[in-house]
Amino acid sequence: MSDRPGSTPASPAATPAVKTRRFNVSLVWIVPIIAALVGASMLISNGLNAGPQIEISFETAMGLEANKTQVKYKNVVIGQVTAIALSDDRSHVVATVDLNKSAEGFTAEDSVFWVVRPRIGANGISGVDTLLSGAFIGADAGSSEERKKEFVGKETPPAITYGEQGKRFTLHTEDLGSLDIGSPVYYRRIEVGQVVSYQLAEDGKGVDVEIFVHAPNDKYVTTDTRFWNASGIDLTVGASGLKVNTESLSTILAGGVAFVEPKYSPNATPATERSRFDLFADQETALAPPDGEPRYISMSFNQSLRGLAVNAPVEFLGVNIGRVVSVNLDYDAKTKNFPSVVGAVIYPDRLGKAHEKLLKEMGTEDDERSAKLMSAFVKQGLRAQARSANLITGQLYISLSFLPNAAPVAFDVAARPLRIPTVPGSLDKVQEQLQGVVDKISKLPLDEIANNLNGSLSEMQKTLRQVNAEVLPQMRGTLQQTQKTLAAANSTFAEDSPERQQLSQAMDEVQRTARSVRVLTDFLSRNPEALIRGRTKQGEPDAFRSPGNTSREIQSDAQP
Amino acid sequence: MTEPVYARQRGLVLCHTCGHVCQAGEHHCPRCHSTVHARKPNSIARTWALLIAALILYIPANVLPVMRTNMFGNASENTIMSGVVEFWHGGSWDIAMLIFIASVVVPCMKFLILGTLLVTCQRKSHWAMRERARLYRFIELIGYWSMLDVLVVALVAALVQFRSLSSIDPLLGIVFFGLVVVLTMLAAMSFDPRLIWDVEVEDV
Amino acid sequence: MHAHRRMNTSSRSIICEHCDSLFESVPLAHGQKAECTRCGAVLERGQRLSIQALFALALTAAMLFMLANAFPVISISMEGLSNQATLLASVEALAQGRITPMAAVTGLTIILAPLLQICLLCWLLGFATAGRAAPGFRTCMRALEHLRPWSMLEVCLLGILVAIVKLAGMLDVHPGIGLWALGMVTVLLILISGKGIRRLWDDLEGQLQ
Repeated sequence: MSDRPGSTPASPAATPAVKTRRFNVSLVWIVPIIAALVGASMLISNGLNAGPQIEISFETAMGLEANKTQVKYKNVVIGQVTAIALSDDRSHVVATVDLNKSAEGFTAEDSVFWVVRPRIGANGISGVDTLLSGAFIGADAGSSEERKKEFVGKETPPAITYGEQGKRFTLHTEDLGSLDIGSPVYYRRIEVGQVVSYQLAEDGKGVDVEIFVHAPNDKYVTTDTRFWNASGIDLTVGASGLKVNTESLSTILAGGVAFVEPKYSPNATPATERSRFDLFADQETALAPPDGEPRYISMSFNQSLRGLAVNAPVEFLGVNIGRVVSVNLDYDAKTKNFPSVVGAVIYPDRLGKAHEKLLKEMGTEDDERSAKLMSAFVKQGLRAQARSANLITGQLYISLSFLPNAAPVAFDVAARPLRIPTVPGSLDKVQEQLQGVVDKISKLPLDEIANNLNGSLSEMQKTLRQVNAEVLPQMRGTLQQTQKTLAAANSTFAEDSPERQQLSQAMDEVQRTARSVRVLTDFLSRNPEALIRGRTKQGEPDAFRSPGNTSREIQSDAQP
Repeated sequence: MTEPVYARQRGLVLCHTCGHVCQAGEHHCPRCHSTVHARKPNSIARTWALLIAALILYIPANVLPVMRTNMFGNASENTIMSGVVEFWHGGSWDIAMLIFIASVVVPCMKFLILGTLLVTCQRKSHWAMRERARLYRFIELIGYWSMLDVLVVALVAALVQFRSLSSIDPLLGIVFFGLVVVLTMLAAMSFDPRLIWDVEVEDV
Repeated sequence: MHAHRRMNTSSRSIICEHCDSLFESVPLAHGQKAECTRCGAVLERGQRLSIQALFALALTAAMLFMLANAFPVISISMEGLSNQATLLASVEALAQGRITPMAAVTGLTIILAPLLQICLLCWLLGFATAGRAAPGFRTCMRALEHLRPWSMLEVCLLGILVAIVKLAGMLDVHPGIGLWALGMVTVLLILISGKGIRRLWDDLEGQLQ
């Protein structure tokens, strides 16, 4: 105990009045009150900032993670996935998404949601940045007034999003070919749209392909526009030769549709939304002027028609007016022959002006009058021939032409299809020509040529005797020289000559170089990042990895 | 200066749980009903056992890597010491010192000091008793700071999880290190510092 | 101020737990501490805060602890990728494979032990403010004693700081709200959960059954 200095007051001091605090509450209670206020304000602000909550169902949750995956629209984060769960019937996955307050519009009934993952599609590779940042959910706000809480997410991004200007059209074709959703649509080789969807036609006899052409190019689709399938490479080996045609590299990969208005189109009014068009197989058939009425003809040949294929062209004076539709054998009992019967279809409209003038002459075009016209032609010498189109492939085509010295043939006006008389084709002509050549040869003056030859031969004998006496000894000396030179060359290239060894050494060097290049390419194919980062310890080629208990082996065990 | 009397000489025992002064024969503290021990039971044996166990585990704790850092495909594993060296070379020498002290200096000091205390108590030495008491209070104070490394690894591993870009994963070494910390803490808790002073009582 | 030896055992006695010396308890004012003369250990400290103040602080610690766990303590971002971690997430990060025992230990030291301490303190101090001993008083007090060495929030704070420095070199690091709350909880726990809680034994001795 320590002493305290005493103080004695002069007079006893008055005792002060003692007042105790009424409520025994100390000031320290301010601290928890402040803490409570702060906590409450944080919770309230969190609650206020919370936007609507929706559920989206997907087929798979690949790439989605609760509390991590975000919902983005035009790359702006508008929400986050808070929970992922299987649906009750385990048929799909339900993702619960908390949207931002500002994203109220995305709860509209026709909003669309899809998962953005790396995809290789018709337009190329998209979404590669999601490899690094993880997949996210893309969204498109709808314009409907109604609100929905549960949505069905799409598995693939929609081909077009709302708000894109343009028009949709339907193309009808026999089969889908190599088209797919996203295949491009070209106009004059510029991509102006894409295939949006396809489905079987109602009667099952074709495919309806829906395309979308972006504005402002959609005004180039007129009522006359022809569409054709521009997929892949058009390779035709036909009577006219080899043709290669392709639209663009992406059509080779992903297929595509091209369109253009034909040159002769009279009036071009832009087509309306969802008009229907036919999809032709290639550009030629698409742009060909309409063929008009077909007419059927048949021809009978007495020769082998090997090389005449169905769809071979039928030409009239060089103009393609039709094609072969059938090649059959027939049996003629009278002559015990097997003539070949060829059926063809011709389009007289293809004759253009000539056909117009003929029409004017005949008046109306009908069956009887055409038959009569044909009989007049036959009298003039119209004959059908099977000519060789291509000597290499041996293909034949049918040629209709006027032959001056053709034997007259009876023409049956009433036969349907019209029978055109035939004359033997080019092969028979060759035979005639050969005959002509043989005749010419027989007319040659062979006796006189033989006499002349005799005289020349005796002259030659004299010259040779001279050569023997003088020229040969000289030649012998030259030959000996040559022999010596050859021996020297031999030794150079002998087995153990130094030059030979040098050559083999050089070959070994080359071999070694090739080997090391191969090792390098193997290594690079396994570790391509070595190009950038160089060789790291882990990237050393197998031959150099040392066995033993390194920490990397423990690493393979401790991996979670 | 007169030395205070020993409670044992007066027949009084301290209840560790509530601080109540109990009579020597009582088995349970009258105030808090917990068991009363005159000295911590088996103190020297238990402390030795825990200390040696911690010493044995300290070797894998330092040899095995505690953390794997995966940065842009470049994986590197870090032991405690290599992490310190990395910090040092990276320029943040203060963090390097901090982790070094917490993960290496502190456990080693605990081993040394506890070992010294045990040996001197067993040999009933009179040497520097006040200083030894101070040493014991010192390791009681700093003991739990060695958990620093475990917490740093936990935090960093929880944060840097970007899958392919970069990720940090804890490895087996951290288990051993954490066990070392726990065991040394238990060892310090099971050592009864009154044993230092008991030599005086027994002498008397 | 040192306590002297007294033969009078009627006043309250203290035994030094580090050297087993017997002392007489002396009332201490705020800022004073009683030391053992033999070994220098601290026997008692003067209390500044009343039970009521301690209770208020315990309530504050409870609210702040909830904030510290609800909000992330650190958030990082890099090239548009971001991540954040709460205390629980850090514990979970250790819960992989063979490292799971460490997750249990870490969870104990930074979440479970402080949580239990705060709950018990609120419970006990709440009743103590009203002058009563809480139900289960003895059990709660004993539990508090055992929990004390395992509550390591200061280490957690320092660990967060080290983690921030470690990551700041590679990424953009932002301390979260949880960090500030955690700091305040740490300070509060140091104030209220020391050995000073033993005064409740003295204050409420008469109430115990």
